[in-house]
Amino acid sequence: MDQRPIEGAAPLPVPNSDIAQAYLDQVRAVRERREAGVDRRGAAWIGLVNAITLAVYITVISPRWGIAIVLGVVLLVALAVFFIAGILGVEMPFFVRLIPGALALVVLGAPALRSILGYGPIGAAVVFCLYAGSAFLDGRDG
Amino acid sequence: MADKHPRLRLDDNFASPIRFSLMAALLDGNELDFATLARILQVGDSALSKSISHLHVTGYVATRRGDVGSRPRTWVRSTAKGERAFAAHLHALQEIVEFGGRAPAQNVSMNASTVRFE
Repeated sequence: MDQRPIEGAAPLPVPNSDIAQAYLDQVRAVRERREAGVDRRGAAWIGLVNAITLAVYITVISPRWGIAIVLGVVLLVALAVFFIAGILGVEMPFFVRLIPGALALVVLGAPALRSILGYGPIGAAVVFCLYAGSAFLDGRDG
Repeated sequence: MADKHPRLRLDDNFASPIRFSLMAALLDGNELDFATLARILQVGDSALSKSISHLHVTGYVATRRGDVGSRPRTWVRSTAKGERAFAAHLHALQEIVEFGGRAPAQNVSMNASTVRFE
């Protein structure tokens, strides 16, 4: 690869070794400012809650191999697609990004819905109200 | 490729200190919002906006717009193409430092081998 000038401009003078070193030092300085300035605690808490939720879920559904296998396949396919897209630098359309989530929702949501409906209409309404109220209180506290 | 002088592998799109620092901030797959970038790079909105636009046109960064509450916000991340170009640029700078601006050793040895055949 030859020196790549800015389009429509002549190649810029080459930096000497001191200036090149100053640029490289700047990379470290910017990284340090970034780590000091970006608060990642929110993302870290979400990651921790996700990990705990997943761990609990895996423990609970482990006897139900059918769901576990289908969920595993969905996650693996999603990982493979996003991994390849990331390597190739392909921008994923929004609807494609929805597919793994939708599949997971169907795979996990359907048995849960069946269980809830197993309480009968009144029981289902009570369970829904309990969960909705809990979610509302969580949202108000958060 | 390895025997080219490092200067031939520099990318002038990173010659501007702001564009260079912008790419450095986006290393490691980070996606940062405009205000955070301005704070990290310690630059004004106008200069940062111009730098992002320049790198966006070259395909080195991608932007995403969204809302946080009622406020619009722009996130910036480097593309795979941008990361490759910036890594090559950093490598060239590193070689310039190591060679002190002289030609790489491969070139020197090649020239020396053609001097005499006895």
